[in-house]
Amino acid sequence: MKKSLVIHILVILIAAAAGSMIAKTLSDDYQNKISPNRSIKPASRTMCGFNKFVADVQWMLFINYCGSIDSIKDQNVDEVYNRLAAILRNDPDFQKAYEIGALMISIKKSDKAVELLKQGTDNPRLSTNWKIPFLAGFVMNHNVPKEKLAELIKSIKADSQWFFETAAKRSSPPEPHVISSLMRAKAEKLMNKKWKTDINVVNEKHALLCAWIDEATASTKIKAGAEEANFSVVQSSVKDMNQKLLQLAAQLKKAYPDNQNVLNTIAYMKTSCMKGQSACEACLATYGPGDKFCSACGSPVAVYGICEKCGVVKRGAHCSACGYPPKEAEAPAKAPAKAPEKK
Amino acid sequence: MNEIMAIAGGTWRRILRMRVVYFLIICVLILIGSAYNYDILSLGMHKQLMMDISLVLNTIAAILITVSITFEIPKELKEGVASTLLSKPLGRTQYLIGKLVGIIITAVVITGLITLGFIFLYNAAFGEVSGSMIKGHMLVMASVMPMAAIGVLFSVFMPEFLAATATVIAIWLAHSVTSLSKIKFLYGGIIPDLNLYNLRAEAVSGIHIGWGYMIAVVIWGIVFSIFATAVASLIFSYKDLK
Repeated sequence: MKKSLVIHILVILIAAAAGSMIAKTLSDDYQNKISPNRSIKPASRTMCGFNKFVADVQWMLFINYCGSIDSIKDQNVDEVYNRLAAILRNDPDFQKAYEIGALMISIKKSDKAVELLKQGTDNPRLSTNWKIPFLAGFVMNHNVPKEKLAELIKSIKADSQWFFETAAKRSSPPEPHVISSLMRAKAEKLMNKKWKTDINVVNEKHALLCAWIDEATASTKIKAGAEEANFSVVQSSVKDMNQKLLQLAAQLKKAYPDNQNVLNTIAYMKTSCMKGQSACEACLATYGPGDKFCSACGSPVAVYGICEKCGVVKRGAHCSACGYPPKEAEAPAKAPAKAPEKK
Repeated sequence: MNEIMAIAGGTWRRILRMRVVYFLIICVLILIGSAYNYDILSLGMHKQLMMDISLVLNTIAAILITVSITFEIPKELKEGVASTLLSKPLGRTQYLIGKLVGIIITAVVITGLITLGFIFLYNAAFGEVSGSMIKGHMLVMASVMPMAAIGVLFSVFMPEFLAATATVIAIWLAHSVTSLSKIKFLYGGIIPDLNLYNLRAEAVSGIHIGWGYMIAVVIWGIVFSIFATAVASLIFSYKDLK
């Protein structure tokens, strides 16, 4: 009996120790590898691990409830929000609840909608979903009242630009409307501010052009390998940045032909981003080598890329019509240095 | 070993004679299959719903089967069947191990049938089967071991109804102990963490679950079952059967 007791106690102690070690390893290492940042929310502790199923049932009840109401009004928006929050507490990975649910309350409770979408954006298991951050930025820009915006940005520690940037990084290739929204968000920050030493941003179109110029300058730095350059998600989505800039500049110049800030901006754009690109001074349309007049507006343009001797368009180092500059003109430059005289 | 398998075989035959077991399997499969019709009500989430329902119902079936042992052992002790068995050269520990093995095999077979039924239904509905989904079900099957061991432990010193209630409460609570993971020896050793088997969300989301994790969690289940059975055996060895 004593021997049996000792064996029992030994087995209990060894099994408890081994079980504890294995469980600790499983809990820390493996679960974090399978599910990074997997956290047990308070709701799931009471669900015996059935929280995902409960979230599904709550979702169907939510759809049923939404079908029973005419529209989202002040009287029922709290109920809709509470149901959504309960679903997402039980299943933080429920993508449809974020996308559809947040849009449902985006007008009556826009700040709460943005908070829900921020929660979805921060979920590492939804890191490939670009729609959630895009919707967050969209709702923030269009629906959140200006008086609540600053407080919201402070509480969630993100603004619309951050959301659009996140969406652009996640969508591969970046969706055009995401890039467009991102640039508008950047432009909004430049509104009515001093952009460069002699340039004040005067309106939305001007702000947008300035934002694009900043983007082009950043991509130039990246190409040059400059240390201070940050990754620009926009550059990968725009095939011809120069063309984009010229288009925006042309529209702006057409609308405000005499505004000095606009003219200074266009001059800055030409010197900083468009080296090697020739554009008509009047309408900013690009023209080719040998052109004497702009094909868009007919204004005379500065001719480039022609032979100095015969005026034919050059295709290489020498003119294909007259051979200028001649090879002999290069010979003296290439003649080897005379050897010193031997004494 | 023969005695253990004889006891296990007895448990297996007793449960298979119960028509309610077949009724349970059929009802579970009908409920799983019916999830296909919820595409409109769930706004296109019927695929995930079917997976969720199958995992939840399989878990409930596993719990129900393992809880049946909490009725069997106290009943046999009360009726004197156990004392008849134990008067022959059959140790008390062998008796408990036999009961445990019997209920584990039965529960694994029944949950396995439910898993196969689900795979067939899901494939028929959507034309695909994912590995993580099957692994989710395999984890449910593996979770039978520690649950059965908890049931055996409580049934050794509690009457039927109390043992069943305590087992269900313990299983429910065992899903909530991950926050105690910093307490060495206690967590995972004495206090089971059934949340280790709860990768249902990952299975439904299609997140890869490695075989290393699966094997490690089965080993933990075996070790915990040894612990719980050893404690049960220790208590049982001092219990007066008259």
